[in-house]
Amino acid sequence: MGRIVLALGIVIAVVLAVATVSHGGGEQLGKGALVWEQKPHVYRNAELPNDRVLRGVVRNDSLRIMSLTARDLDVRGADGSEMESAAVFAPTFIRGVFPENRGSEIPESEQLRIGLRACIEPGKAVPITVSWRERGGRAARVDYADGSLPVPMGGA
Amino acid sequence: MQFWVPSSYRGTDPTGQSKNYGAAYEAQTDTSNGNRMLGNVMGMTPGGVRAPNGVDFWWDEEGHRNCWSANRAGAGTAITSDPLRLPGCPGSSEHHPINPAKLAALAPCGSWDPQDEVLQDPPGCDWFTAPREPR
Repeated sequence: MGRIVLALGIVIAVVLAVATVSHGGGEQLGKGALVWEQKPHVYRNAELPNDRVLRGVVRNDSLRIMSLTARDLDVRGADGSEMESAAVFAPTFIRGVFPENRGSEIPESEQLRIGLRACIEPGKAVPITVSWRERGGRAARVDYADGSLPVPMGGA
Repeated sequence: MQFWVPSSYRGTDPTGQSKNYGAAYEAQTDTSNGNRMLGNVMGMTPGGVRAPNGVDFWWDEEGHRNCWSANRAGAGTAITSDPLRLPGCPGSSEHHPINPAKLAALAPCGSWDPQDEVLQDPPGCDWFTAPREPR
């Protein structure tokens, strides 16, 4: 009986270890379905000393398609406080072909093209740029629907 | 101001320009190449009055055969640029990678929304912050 329990324990430990590795290696890369493909970089514009810009690539580590709206992402400090922020699923400035004051009337295909939304298949990755204003504390994480991405130190 | 936009973010390519470089060429970098800025007079009104720009030429440093030659500034001023040194014509045939910090300065501007209290001046985007008057 003791051997069976020991064997079961070993099997469970191995399964948990494999699951952790396949999920991106833990919370350093992300908590939830999205993980950083590589460590993102944080930049600071000399003209905007309180602002920070994070550029990175996120991968969908889940087994389902993830549909995200950039505006629903929140940047939060270590104490959970929300910061003024913006996000786009794009590596650079993409000019839209629809007037900016049309809001939700912008077709979904255009929202996907210019990075206002992202639809990420399992195992696939997309670029993301997140920016925020720091008033006192530094940003700790980027929250989305059911998870969060850690914000690395940086921006000097 | 000259900056790169990857082909995948431009949508379809009805002109077929992306194919001119062949399948082996990375279509993501098919823009921002071969641009020449020649013989401009900067920092001066058409009437000849001194009116300096904050920066005369801004380039994200991406692409090949981009060049600047024979440009001059108005009396008492010098051409200003970012980067400080711009390649003269005909420019380098070697592909120059983008400056990632400059990409980071542009990308947040894509989230601009005049109807949103925060996004009408998106964090990280300096397009809506009036700079000091150039001297």
